[in-house]
Amino acid sequence: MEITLVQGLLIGVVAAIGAIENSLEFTMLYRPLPMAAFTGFVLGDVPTACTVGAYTELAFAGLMPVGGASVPHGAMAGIMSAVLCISHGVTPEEGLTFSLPFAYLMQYINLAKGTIFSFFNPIIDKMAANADVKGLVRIHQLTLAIFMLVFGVTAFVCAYAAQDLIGGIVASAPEKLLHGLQIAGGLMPAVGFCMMLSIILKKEYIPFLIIGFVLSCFFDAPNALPYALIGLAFALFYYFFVAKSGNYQQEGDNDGI
Amino acid sequence: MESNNTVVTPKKKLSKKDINQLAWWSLMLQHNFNYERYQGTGFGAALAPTLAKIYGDDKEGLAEALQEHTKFFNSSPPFVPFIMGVVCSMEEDRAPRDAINAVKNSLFPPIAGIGDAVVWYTALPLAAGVGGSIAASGSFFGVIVFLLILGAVNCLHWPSAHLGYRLGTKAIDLLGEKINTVATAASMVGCTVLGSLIASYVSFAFTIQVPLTDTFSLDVQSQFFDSIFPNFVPAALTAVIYFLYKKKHVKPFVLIIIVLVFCIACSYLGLA
Repeated sequence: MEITLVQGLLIGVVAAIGAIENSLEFTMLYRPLPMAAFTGFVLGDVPTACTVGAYTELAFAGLMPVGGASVPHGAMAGIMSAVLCISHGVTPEEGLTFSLPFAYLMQYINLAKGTIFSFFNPIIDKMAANADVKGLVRIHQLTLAIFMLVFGVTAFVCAYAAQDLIGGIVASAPEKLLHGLQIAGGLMPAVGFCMMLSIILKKEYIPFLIIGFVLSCFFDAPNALPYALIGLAFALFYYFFVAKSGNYQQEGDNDGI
Repeated sequence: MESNNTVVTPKKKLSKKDINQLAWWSLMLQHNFNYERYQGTGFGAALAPTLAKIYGDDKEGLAEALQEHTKFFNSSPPFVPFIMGVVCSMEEDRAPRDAINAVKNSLFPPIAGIGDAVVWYTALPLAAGVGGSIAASGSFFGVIVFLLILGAVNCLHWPSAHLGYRLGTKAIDLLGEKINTVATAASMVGCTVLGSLIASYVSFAFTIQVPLTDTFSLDVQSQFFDSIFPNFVPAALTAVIYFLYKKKHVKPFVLIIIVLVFCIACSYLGLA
């Protein structure tokens, strides 16, 4: 079936709403299942969309953008797999596979957005220096609007205007380039961690950094909570055994007065 | 000492309604997500209206607070309002800037870990499993279940904010001058967690095999680097990036480009 212009535009709107949720993360609307379902609404076939959406969602179960990690874009995969299944009549499995180039495309666009939005930071810094509260709020609404536009337009173009063309481009991208981007995804968190570290690391805290690092190399924990507990143990030890004895002396001095 | 009345009544400027508003503003957290500050600018912008109430006419104090709070930040969105609540109560009591920073910066990594575990590793699989299985047979009701489960978890924005604010005030009342000690202790937690995050989330492995003789090639990664220490390469690369950032003051945006170029070059040269 042909996708009409109106449907294409509405799919763009669905994507734009997904972009809001990308930021809010409130109902997780931007995961494959809901995005596919709403695309199904637009295209008039909700049951198929729900089926392929559930299938795509489970496939994307491990791909979570946690901690700023860059993953193939679930929302785009949801939208495009619904589009492919409904308008081209492919099976859910094929829908998922063929939607992947678009998910990768959106992942790279997201990567670019995360880099380009850094250019707003100097403006934001100036606003902060001027205590411009209204400006700070407004600029964030602006960046959201930009992202909504980008995602909406991309979805519209992929679903309606240039579906075959874009799929072809992404599929034929040089493998070494894609591999390089993939490796970069593994190294990228280091940049964020270094920024976090530069704020709180003083040379006295290096032992704790080492301990957390070494333990994490050998133990397989599901998240960072065990290490937070170990750090807490150190902190409590410091508080009760080191700091408190210092404070006792201080209180003694006050009593003297 | 005069006016014993003012000593007894704590000077609270923020009402329940203000804290509710704070939770609404916190939804703005990721609007300007970028790789230089992550949620940093969003954090500051979300706090800004509430900080304006706290600082009143003190424009200089407000500017200083805003500049600090738009710096790098990254944590789990439903629980970030908790940190915001604590920050607000510390700002209200005009706690020393160092203490506020230390508490904020050492709270957010562990809360990121805990919060992400609740949302991404518990709530999302639950919603995907339950909602997905209903939707798989073509029913839209599955989608509704999915959205409701996650929406319910994310309503934590509001209790988070209230808890953080109340705890922050209580903590300050209890600790008094010991706040700097607590800040130091909090930094210890933060550094331990960050050390573990570097080992867990940064990955890089060389795949190149250097031919030494006709029959033997040295697999640089598994036979050399891995025998020094696991995760040696990611740790070394992180140290290089840290050096570039802290000592050479390379901008984060440039760092990202450097990482991309380095990795693509390694790919093309067959190094990794």
